[in-house]
Amino acid sequence: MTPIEIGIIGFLVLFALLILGMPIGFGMGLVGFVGMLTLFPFSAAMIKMATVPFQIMSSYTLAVLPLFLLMANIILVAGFGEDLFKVAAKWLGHRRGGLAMATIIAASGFAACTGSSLATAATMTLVALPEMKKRGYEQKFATGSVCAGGTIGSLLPPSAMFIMYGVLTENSIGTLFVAAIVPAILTAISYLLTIYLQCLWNPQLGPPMEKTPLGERIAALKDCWEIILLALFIFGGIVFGWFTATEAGAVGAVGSVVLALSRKRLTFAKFKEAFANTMRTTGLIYGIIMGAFVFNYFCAKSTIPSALGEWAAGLPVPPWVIMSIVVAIYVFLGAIMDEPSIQVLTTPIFYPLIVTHLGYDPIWFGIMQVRLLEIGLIAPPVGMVCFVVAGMDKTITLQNVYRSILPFLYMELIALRLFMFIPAISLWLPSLMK
Amino acid sequence: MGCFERLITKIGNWGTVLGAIFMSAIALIITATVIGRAVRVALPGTFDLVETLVVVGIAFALVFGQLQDRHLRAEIAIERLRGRVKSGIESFLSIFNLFYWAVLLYAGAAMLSDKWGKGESTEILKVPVVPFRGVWVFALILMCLLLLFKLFHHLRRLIKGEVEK
Repeated sequence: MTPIEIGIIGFLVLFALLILGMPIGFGMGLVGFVGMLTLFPFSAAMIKMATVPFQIMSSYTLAVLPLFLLMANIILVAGFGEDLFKVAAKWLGHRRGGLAMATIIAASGFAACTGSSLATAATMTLVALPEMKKRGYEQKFATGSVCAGGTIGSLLPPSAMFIMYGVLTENSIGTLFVAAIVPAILTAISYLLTIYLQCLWNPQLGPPMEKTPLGERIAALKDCWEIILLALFIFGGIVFGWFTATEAGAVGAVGSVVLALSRKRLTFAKFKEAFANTMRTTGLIYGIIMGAFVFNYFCAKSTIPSALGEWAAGLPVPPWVIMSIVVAIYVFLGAIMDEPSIQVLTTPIFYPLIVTHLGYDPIWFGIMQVRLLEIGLIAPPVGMVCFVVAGMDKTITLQNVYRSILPFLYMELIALRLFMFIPAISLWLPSLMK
Repeated sequence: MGCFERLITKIGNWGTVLGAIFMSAIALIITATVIGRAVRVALPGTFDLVETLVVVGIAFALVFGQLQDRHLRAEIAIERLRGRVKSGIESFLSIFNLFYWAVLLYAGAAMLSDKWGKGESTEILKVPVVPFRGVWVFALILMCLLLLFKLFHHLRRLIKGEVEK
């Protein structure tokens, strides 16, 4: 059998194992190991199995992940998300759909500290959804804004998806974080526009609240200025080169603990909860990364990525056509698989194709990939954000949650075209770093 | 076996506490380095410390993920199945999971014995790496035992035809 045939069989076996319910990381590691055994001597495969996991565990760069997770979990248990929403609601609540807009703003602010779509969606479901319902917002409209707000978490630093992409492709995580800022802001604006247009079309969707006096609105800022400052300090630190992404994670983790303690928000029980969540998620992600590295090694040695790249580069079509096919594949996969699986499975195949053979910028592709995965977070039938919202709010069915997200999904597809054809949106800010 | 399983679970939980303490230490060491750099006081060896201490945190984070059965998997198909078919597939997958971690254990232990006599240490602070390799192997043993318990549970369900709670 040729290496390519072995590689194809490896992919098929992996898909079968994943569909049956094998943990993603374990499945990738196992198939990678067995694949290596068919391509190399036993001793060479065993050396790889000994060195790869230990190298990943002892990586200074990868330590960014648990540190940012710790920061996110501290902020989550300390209840800062609620503060952000209350402040945003005071500033925007008097407009039509104002609370939905406040949800997007608060979700963006919260996501900037946690980098997690699921945590953002869960927090906003608890905080913003009951308030919108109380104020007479139409249920599907309110739910849609919570789901959409949730997705911003994947796009804003410290997003775990960017960390994963950076690790898998050996690109700078700091540069990816910086490159994501403008797309994330544009995404938030596109969501605000969607809410505005929906309310313009049907004013009953989000009735306005009474206006809060300006003095009260300014006074409300004191409830969340520290958390905004912490997020800005971390972004600023990476952009201006004060510290690396890993250092930003450590400063963020220590800063969030200090902040939560100073606001008397951190009891021992909450501290324990934050650490338990951090350890659990860290274990989960490292399990995937270890398996992904073993599998990627096998995949590279099977020569599938280079063969695919050479074949695609030889096609008589412009690169954007191939990129469009890749986008379509991501959208399709997003509808049937969860995002971490898609990311670890597709990166070793599509990265060499898009970056090495078609010549696209690796940072731009990282942004595109995370945006596509972000769409997958809300796309039926496996939109994880929608699962979270429907699971937490029992008054709405999953089907209606999916319906509620459609206007935002259309807007996402328009925004995606912009990001695809205007790479400067992603690459302008990192270019200032150089 | 119940007693042994409880003991392993307890060791895993204590290991997780230890891992969390090491993670906190890493956050503090790096923050001290950043502050030190801002006031022009160099703290050499941060990389060495982080690259060794983080091993303890990650090794036990992996064990904790298994203790809580939270390693990410697609559950679309398996959640629709019931009874013996489900237990059969779960047992089959548990064997594969155990095999994968047993391979890692074998490879990790072989590497540990190889490095044992060579006195592997970090570049600047000369921190010995072997104890951290030992922690990794210990975590792998815990991981294999946890997966073995899980396999036994699935096999028992398969044989007795019990429904998962």
